[in-house]
Amino acid sequence: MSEAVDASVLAAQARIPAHVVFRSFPRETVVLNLDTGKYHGLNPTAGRMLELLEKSESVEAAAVSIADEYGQELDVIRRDLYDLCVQLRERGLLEIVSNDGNAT
Amino acid sequence: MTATRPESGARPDRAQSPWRGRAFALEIEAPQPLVGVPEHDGAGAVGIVRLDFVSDADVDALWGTPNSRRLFARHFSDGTPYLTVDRAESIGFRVWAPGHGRYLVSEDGRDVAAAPPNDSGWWWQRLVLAQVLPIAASLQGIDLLHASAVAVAGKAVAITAEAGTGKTTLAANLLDHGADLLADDVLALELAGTEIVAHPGVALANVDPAQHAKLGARARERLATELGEGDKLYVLGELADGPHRLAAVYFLRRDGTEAKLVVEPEADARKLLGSSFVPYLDGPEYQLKHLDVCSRIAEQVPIFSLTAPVAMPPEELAAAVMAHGERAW
Repeated sequence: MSEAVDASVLAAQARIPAHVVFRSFPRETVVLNLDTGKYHGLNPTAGRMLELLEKSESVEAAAVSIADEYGQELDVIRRDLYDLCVQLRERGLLEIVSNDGNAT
Repeated sequence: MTATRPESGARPDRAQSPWRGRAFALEIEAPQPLVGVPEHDGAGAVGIVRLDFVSDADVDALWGTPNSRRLFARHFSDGTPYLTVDRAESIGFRVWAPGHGRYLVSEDGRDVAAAPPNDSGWWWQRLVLAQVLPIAASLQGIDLLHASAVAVAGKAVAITAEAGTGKTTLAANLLDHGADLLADDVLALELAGTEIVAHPGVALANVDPAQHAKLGARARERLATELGEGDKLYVLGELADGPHRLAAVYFLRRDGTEAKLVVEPEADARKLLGSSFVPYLDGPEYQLKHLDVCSRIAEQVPIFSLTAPVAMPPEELAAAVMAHGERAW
């Protein structure tokens, strides 16, 4: 069962570290960790989420954009986006930085 | 094609390097012609590499005893290595194979200290063509796919497959349909503006002798000079003139359960990503270049899966590819 959504994560900004790059392919987004040399695949929706996370000032703002773009309920998107952020952070592919500049 | 090696310590005079050629998007300067590499002034090349003949002792002295890392090795069944590629920071890459010599590629890929064996054959050049020059090209930012390719009506068509599946044989048979050989086994790609450009490789193909004997007149004419047999037949041929825009990629595989040829769009990114010719160059700059090239290919170039019955003759497969190409690329 997924952990409860941490509101501090939603309020924070998601940053893609300098050692991580991603490119779009027809069926997936490929994320490359330049430090480890490992490729990771994201489905198209997760790939779009990553694009919007990179451009948004907060995870919450990205969730609002995605909910609007996909016509989905914001609460559902918050959950999905939160889970994605946690997974990417665990793999070293994303940093979640709070307003005070500290990693969350 | 005799290798004339200087005595240890003597440095070849670069003004005496009379020969220039082009392959893998490189302008190549060397003391002698290289088998299968067209003589060329290098126009259109992306990078440049200079080969100098030196002695074994010179290569060893240049290499020294560094803190090196083995990037790649192939072994005989008894565990004896028959090909090694090692890297030492700030020195470069050492490539070695018994009977083929030892070579030190500089870190930037622009210089090669070459110590081929002292014999009169050409056989040692296989290592230069198959490993040394591709490493030099990769170090200079050229992405290399493990693929063969032909040029058809001004476009490059790449064929990639696991070893032994028949990509060289397919490429050879496409010559009977008006195509020209662009590359065998190593395809150099360049991102040029909005296009992906495929550069000519080496005009040396390693084909199955029985399949070579069945080629039609045009293909036999274009792959005319037999150089000798190893595991297969080495044939020297004519290359397509110059780089061509990459117009299609086929992933070829054989399937014993298929009764007929199946050609369908291929969208699995990992097949492209897994087709690097030098995957052991694992530094971030090479991986990023490869990712960028593959992403651009996936975005712009039609990619197909070509699943052929095991028994499908290569001439039929080639005809099918050309027919498919008329509507697909």
